[in-house]
Amino acid sequence: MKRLHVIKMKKMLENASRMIAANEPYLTEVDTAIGDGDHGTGMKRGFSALYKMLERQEFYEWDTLCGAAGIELVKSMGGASGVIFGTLFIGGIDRLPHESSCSLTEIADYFMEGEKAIERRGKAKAGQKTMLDALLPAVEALKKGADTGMEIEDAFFYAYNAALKGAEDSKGMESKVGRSKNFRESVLGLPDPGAISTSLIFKAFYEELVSR
Amino acid sequence: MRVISIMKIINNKEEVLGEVLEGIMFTQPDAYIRMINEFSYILYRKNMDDKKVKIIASGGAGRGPLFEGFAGEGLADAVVTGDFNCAPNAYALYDVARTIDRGRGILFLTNNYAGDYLNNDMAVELLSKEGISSGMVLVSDDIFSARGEPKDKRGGLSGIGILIKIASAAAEDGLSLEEVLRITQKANDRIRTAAVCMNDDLDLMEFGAGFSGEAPVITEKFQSADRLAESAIEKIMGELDSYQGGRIYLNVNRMRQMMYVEGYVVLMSLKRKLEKKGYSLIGASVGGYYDAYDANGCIISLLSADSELEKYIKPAKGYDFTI
Repeated sequence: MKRLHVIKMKKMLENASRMIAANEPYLTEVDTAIGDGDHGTGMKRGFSALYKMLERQEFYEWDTLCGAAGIELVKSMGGASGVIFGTLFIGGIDRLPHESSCSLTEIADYFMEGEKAIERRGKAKAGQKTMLDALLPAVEALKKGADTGMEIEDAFFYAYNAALKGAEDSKGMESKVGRSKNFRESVLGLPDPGAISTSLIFKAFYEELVSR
Repeated sequence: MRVISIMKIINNKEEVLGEVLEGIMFTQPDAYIRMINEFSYILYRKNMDDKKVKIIASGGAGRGPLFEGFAGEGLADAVVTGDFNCAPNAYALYDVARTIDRGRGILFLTNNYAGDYLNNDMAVELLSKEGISSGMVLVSDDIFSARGEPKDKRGGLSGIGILIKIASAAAEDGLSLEEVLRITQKANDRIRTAAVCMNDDLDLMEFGAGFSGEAPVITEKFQSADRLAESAIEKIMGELDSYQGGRIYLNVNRMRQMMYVEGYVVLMSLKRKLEKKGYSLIGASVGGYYDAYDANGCIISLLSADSELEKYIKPAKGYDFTI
């Protein structure tokens, strides 16, 4: 597929919400080992609120949908995660069309801008054991897909796998920013909870994209 | 966290922060409006001057009067807190900002902690998407946090109380957002704060301990209030002396176990020592503004004001304190 309809994107966000909620115990387990243990419950609260909002509202344009999704996360999560995952959806909003369908190039640019906005705001870069370790490779895969004229499904397949690998790679990293930096070397061998959440979101996006 | 565990005379924890706001409103009828947000606590003033920049102060809850008690004339126009020790969410900040803005813009004031920075920064972005101008000042007055790193890496303590009244006075003077921001930022550059806790068992004074149990940075034998004042002045003025000719504003924040009278004893010791060293003082305040430390001791802030800042430093009264 070369263009993605806003209704499908809405379903992808709903699926991401279900995926995060279902994985709350796992996220909590990982964050208890590495941070203050509230990442899982915070993410579940945010994405459950997002799911409810998507259920009761219709969307006709990409920018309206993604902006509302980001705001819902900021509103319901609080703390650092609310801002970070809210920024993922709001940061690149200017790259999206005020229309019902969207090209892969626009989608890739949108997520790339979101990633850059998180880097700026969080004063962080990939390689520091944060959600960026999953997000950056994922958006780079989308961008590569767009530049080489891939089908949207294929680009999201590569994005999901890149995010998964990124989350896995975060295990070997030392923490330099955020809460887990206080735990320093003891975090080696453990993945970053935010990177896992990010890979789950891209997994849900891909699975919904190829479902009938 | 200590701030929560120490609370005893309550009914249930979930209701405490709401009761604080309701209580403040009950004691001062017709002064405030409470905005309901599921995850944050918001109070803003009724009858504000429409022609001025609005000041929004925010931070973790449960250490009042900072921040719950800091909305009022000469202080903030709105105060927003999250849960105990947690930053409020960006949406709450954005929501109250767009409610009280009348076109002159919004100044956000918060202490320099990650959660506060992230949420205030996001609120600024959300407002700009709606064409509302705003800016923030991250207060970094604590000389013992992020030792050896640049000042903008440091956290904030009770110095924010002084910055709130300076920002408010500048805004009431009719200045633009840009000017109010510049002046408040200058005040942050020129303020330094030292927390000192008494270790009564060993008769020590411990400088720079954190309120979540971080170890003190410098420990000295306690001798007298005069000696405590001298030691605090040395540590603080060592960083402020580069602002030559600055006149000093002085604030003593009593910790939870420090007596009212001790606050004034320390204040007068500070005054004498500063004057003896040749500093000229422009004003002072004593109170229990920032209730974070469950200890005996105090938090001492000194601000080296230039003539511009001096114009905006005057006593401001909350309902139950003066700063």
